[in-house]
Amino acid sequence: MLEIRNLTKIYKGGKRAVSNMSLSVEAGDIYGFIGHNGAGKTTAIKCIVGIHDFNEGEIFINGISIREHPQQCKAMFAYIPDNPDLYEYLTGIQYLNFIADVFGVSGKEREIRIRKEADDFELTASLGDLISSYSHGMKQKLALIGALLHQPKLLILDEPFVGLDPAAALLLKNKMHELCRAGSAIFFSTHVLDVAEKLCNKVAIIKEGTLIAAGRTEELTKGESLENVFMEVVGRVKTDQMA
Amino acid sequence: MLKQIRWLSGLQLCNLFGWNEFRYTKDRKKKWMYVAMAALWIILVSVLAVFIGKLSALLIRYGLERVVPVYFYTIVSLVILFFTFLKAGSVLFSMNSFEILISLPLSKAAIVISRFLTMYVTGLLMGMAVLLPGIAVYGYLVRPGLWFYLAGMIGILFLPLLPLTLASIAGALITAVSARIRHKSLAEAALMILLSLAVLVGSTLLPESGEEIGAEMLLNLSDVMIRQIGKFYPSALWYGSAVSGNGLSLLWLIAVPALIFAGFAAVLQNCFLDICVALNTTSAKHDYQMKSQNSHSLLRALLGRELKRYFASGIYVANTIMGYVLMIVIAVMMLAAGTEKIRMLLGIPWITESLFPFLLALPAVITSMTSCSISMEGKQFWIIQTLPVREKEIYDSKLLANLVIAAPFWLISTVILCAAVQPSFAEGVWIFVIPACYIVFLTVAGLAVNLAVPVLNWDNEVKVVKQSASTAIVMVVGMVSVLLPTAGVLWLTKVPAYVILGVTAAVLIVLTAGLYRIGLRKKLIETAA
Repeated sequence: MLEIRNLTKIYKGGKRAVSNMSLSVEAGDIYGFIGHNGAGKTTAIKCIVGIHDFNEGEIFINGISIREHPQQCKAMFAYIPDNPDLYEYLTGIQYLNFIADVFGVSGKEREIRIRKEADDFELTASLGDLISSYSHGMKQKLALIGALLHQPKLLILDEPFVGLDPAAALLLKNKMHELCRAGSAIFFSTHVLDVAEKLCNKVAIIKEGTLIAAGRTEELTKGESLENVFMEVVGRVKTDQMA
Repeated sequence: MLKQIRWLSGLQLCNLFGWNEFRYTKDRKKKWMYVAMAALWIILVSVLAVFIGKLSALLIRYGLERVVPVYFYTIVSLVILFFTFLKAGSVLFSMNSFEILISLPLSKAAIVISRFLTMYVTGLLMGMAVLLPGIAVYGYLVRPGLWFYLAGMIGILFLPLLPLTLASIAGALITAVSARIRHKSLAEAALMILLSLAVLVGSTLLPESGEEIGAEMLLNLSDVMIRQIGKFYPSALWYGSAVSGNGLSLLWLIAVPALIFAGFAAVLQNCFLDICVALNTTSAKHDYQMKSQNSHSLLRALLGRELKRYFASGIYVANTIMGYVLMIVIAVMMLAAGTEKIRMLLGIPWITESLFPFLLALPAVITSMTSCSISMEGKQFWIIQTLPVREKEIYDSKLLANLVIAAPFWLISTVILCAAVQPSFAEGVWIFVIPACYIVFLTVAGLAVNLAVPVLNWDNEVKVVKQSASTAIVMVVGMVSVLLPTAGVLWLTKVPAYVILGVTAAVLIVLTAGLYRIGLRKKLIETAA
């Protein structure tokens, strides 16, 4: 579903944000992408979704290169950044209709999907209001609904649980499972290792732009907590060694 | 409180004209952009200085030296008033950083004064750029005493206070009135445009105050002009009187604006928080019920998004639509007053029928929507970058949005102008064709320039709509593109006007086509880099 081969991204000024990163996300995977602040998670994700160009390597979405056929790739995935700045001058329903028009979702289909997702996320009543009146959590929910409208094959999320209330966070986890059962894949970055451990069947750990561990969650953790594994691989003290 | 004003003002003024960003940014492209902007502004100010100097010399040559200080003081005040009230509401009552500041142990008065101080500094620089060249030439030719310079400099320091206060009151009222209206931004834009027109049209109609200018008055033209100006702007009279040696007038010049400003600040600080919150709060009804939805084509969806973005910003609308509105104003004035009177009012009695198409095109090229439409994407740029939409489709929607807005103004103004001047068939064709060519050219050029120099990281629309490199470049390009063939018609008297008009149209069409093909090739991924 998503294949990253030897991805390298160097910013102007010489900062190497991602270095020779390779990983593969299969259909049905919930893939967690974890790392410390400034490790390169967001940069890697922005390269995947076509916001950043990259210096070396290749990225394929369902076998199609993002560089050579960006529109084809973008039609297959949905992306939500960590702080989704949406069109504040639109109402919620106007934003969803815009996204649905771009992805070619029919009027009937979008009505069914918006009704379902908005009811699930308890956002229906606010759809007629301007997005500028939404709280951060409401904007996240709206962005999620917009992402799910065209039933993407790949859902790419940057820190999706930040700003969501517990009920919405649980709902999102359920949605992720639902999508994976239907054959899609999820790739998301997070700082919340507890969520990654329980939710993800695969994880990748990035440190200073380099992938230092990747694979099935149970194989990486080997009975330890993901937090301990993470601290160990990034060269810090294990939690159970702290007095 | 003075310390707080100093801290807060320093915070805002350190980034005046982007200086702090220029100092600390590691982005070399951005640094060069600032250098280019600075060079552009220096050229513009230099050209303005030469023009003002020559105007000052002309007035002195015709024995109107007494008018010089009064006239330029009035011009500067009108310029400050006009340019400030368009942004006063958004600068004074912006919520950016306000929430952080109000939670700190800072007085509201200090916050208000520091924001006003930023506008004062830019007003003062504007004032000096216009007034100093005129006064310098006056000083060289008339050789006044030391008191002239002393009083003159003091007057300049207090000059911005009154227009800024009036602009702030107008800006605050506009924002307050429009906040109560459902379509807030549209109402804000409409009020701004109406007030701008009132200032512009009013200032051109000033000489027509009912006084017949007879032969005797011509001999005392200085007195007539000073009296006319003094009727609506006594500060200018005081300035003229002060630099001539009247100490009492200098006192009035200092005291009146300072007292008015102090009164305004005292009133404002009491209701400042309430105004800020009221203006920046969006109401929500939470009563939407799902109904059937219609699908639209991609182009319609993108165009709809563009137009909603446009009308959601009062300053974007006011700043860009003004040129098109002036097209209609000029045409209506031609129809109402007759072409002879307009020639005299505009001060260009030699304007011929061949120049009417350029006269109509000139206001249309001052700004274009597209010169900042990429920048206006701002922090939401990631959305169009990650959607399965080709760049061409996005750019076409932006071009189409500009043309959809401009078309009705073009049609109405050209029809009215034709009714006013009763042209021949060929002249009528040029009246329609030339402004249309300019509008389309500036639309495409605006987008091409904005793609080359976008500003996506902004916190105030004013920076993008009024103060960005792309809007300045497009304005200069537009004005030069109109003034060049105009000069050709005026000076190349041996060349038939229709030849110049034809060449102008052909060049614009070729440039437009070239820019559309080559200038709009840039990928969104490169634009953000």
